[in-house]
Amino acid sequence: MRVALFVPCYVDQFYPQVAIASLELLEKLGIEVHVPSNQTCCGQPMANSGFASSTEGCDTNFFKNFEGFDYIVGPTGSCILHLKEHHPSEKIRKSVFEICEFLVDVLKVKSLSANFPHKIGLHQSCHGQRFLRLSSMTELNEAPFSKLAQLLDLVKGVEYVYPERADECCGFGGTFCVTEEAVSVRMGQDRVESHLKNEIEFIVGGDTSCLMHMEGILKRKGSKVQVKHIVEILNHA
Amino acid sequence: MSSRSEIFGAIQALEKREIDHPGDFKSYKATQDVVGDFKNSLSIVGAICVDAENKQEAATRLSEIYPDLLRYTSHEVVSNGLDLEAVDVLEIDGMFGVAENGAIWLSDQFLPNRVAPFICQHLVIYVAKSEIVATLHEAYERLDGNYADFGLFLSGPSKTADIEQSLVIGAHGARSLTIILV
Amino acid sequence: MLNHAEASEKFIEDAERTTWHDETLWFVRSKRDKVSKLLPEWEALREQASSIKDHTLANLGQYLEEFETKAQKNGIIVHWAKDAQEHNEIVHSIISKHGGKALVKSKSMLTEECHLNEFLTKKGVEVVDTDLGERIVQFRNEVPSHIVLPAIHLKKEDVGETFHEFLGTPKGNKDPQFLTEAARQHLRGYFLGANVAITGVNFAVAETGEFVVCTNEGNADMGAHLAKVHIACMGIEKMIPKRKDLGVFLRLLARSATGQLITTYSSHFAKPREGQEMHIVLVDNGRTRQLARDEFRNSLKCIRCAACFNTCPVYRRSGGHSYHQPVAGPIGSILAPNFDKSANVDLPFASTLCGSCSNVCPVKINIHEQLWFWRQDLMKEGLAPLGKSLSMKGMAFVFSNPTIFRMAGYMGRLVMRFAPFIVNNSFNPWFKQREMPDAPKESFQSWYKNRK
Repeated sequence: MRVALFVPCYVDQFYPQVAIASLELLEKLGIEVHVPSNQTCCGQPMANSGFASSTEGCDTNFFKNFEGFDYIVGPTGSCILHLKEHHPSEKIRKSVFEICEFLVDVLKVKSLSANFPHKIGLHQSCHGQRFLRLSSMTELNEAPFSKLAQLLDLVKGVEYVYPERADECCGFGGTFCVTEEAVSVRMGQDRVESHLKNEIEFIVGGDTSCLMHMEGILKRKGSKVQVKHIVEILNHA
Repeated sequence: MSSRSEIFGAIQALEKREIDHPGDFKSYKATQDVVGDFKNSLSIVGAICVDAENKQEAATRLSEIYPDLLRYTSHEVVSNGLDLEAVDVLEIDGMFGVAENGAIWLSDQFLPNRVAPFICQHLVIYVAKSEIVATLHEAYERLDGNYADFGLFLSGPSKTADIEQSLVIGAHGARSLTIILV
Repeated sequence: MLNHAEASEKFIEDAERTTWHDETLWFVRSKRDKVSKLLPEWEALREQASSIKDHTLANLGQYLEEFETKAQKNGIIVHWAKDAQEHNEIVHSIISKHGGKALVKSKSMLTEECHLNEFLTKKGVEVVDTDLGERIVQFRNEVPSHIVLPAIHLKKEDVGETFHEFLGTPKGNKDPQFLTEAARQHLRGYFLGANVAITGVNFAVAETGEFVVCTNEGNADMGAHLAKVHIACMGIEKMIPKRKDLGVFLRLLARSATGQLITTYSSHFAKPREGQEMHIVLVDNGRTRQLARDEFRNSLKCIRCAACFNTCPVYRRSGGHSYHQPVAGPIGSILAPNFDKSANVDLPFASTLCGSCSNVCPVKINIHEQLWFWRQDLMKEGLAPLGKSLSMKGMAFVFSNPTIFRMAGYMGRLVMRFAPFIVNNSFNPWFKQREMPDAPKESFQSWYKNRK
């Protein structure tokens, strides 16, 4: 099984710890992980802004870096979703996996050596939840499930809680966060407030972009609550 | 070219797509207690429900519910040529009820006129307990072949929540609805 | 005219009202969740409704023809209008034939779309909207901000003031019960006096030539059954094949819209009453154009329940008027560009693409995907502001070239670490109300290189 780690552009630049945790976690589980060095971006920022026609260079670069792998695993639901839906190569579309999805569905992980004795608020990012189906959604009449919760149940000491309106969007939305700044921020503030009501220490989720947005809001209001990607918890000794 | 032919022309110019009708829908739940479900739905939609053995008992209960108001039947409205605006309580017959939503099918075969159930101040509908179906699917089964000139499902008294989402009973239609189950 | 982002910013300035608006609509969404979960067949019903509509749209010509024949046989006069203008003229010509000076109208989003009120008012006809919410906004010279709850942007204090001004209710009285009663008395006079009533249409049944109108207040029926002339206005997409299909749609409509089991009145009009004239105006106004577009065709499945409004986190926090269209919310954002691309270029972008809308939709319209497709379509038409096209081209260039990407990332982090004022200023919309992320010393890739 040839596995490559896809590190989205802004994770590479601003959240290297998320990529490091992903790498270490996969290695702990006995996977030999390759990290193609010339990878950049999945193309989503352009495509969701209406410029899917300009992503050709991006798509080609992604293909060059990742065509040789059976599994392309990345720590952000949104970028993975974009690749699954829009990358021109069928091979790529079929090989990309969000990391929790990979751990649960492919590796079928049953135990972890992780320990994280804290109370966390679990943030369900929309693209992972509604389209990658990482967890059930309140819109549908369906039995509840969550791959994220399934993994957290393997971590010692962690207590996770959901905010009111468990699956409301945080308002990041890609370029929406700047083009519709007022609504984006208001949504983020509301999301953060409902997490804070639960007296948590961390907001944890599977999509770094949502976390970056909520982190910006938490810091601006001077809150001590931090954000963490779920892999940082799963990899925490 | 007329607009009609323009519209049909535009539709006919489209590529033909074969998509079948999925067929009639069958409801999952075969409820055991249609009358119980019907009563439950009536309370949700804000209707008063009265169990009555006979007309006499119904009349007694109605004079308790509407103590100071004159009640008229459909027949009296027609034969006396009453001005409906002046009718406080109108008593009519419903054809059947629907358990899942408390709706009753009314059709102009049984109405003094079409506006009657809307314009009266309070409405009373008689429905037989043996005439309750489980869902709207069964309701339309039942109506198959029965094409009233005008008919409606009526569920509860007239209501609105257009001011701050506060529920107010008695918007334009009847201010209260009493169902007599016989 | 303000675009969606600008209008939203203004709406949000009143933080308390925004909270109220958000919570009130969320409550409606919660009621919808509750009743939908009581039906084990809910998802199957949605699938059924979606399939019936797909089938109908694929055979629309045949069903329209069948409907027309049956309706005429029933004694209904059928009219066809290719656009809003023609629709308005048809309605006006019927009114003038009957010498009407005032008419009562129940809710019809189609007449909003066609700006019928404005048209008739200019011709000297007084239009009285009889839905309570619509009457309120009509008094205020506003437009509905929600297709099911037209006055949801207003508080009871606002309504109290409006009724004080127009109906002479006591100043300061803001009791919904009292104000509703005042409207009941006020509108009853119009119902009794009107020659002509206009209603919308929720469903038109090809098999029987009848149409169904759903209300909670009873205003459509009060108008239609009292007036000498009933005009029903509908878009051609309101068609359904059979009467039994109504069972599916009526089970879904009110549950999705308000969490009710069914609307109070679901009236089936097949024939005019004795001595009455009944008209139906079937309107295209861009619908056949939308029907021809593969990506956008199934927006025509919409049954106007507004579940997508109530669930939309953006709509709840920006209000219906920020969409500057008769139909706001997510569904409005995919319908509007069909009417005018450049005037509505902002709307498909007024979304985070969270996808909640598509999953509450009772007819399973892929709203979030259509938002995405409209973004592509509008940008291809060259409707992007210059700055945006340039920055997108820049981004595409950087991401296509790993070396340049690494360099740009490195420079960016360097700037943020040592000269943060370059990004932390009011020209950066991110920074206005959010902190920038900390810039780490090194990127993951450079860490990884050293690790080996």
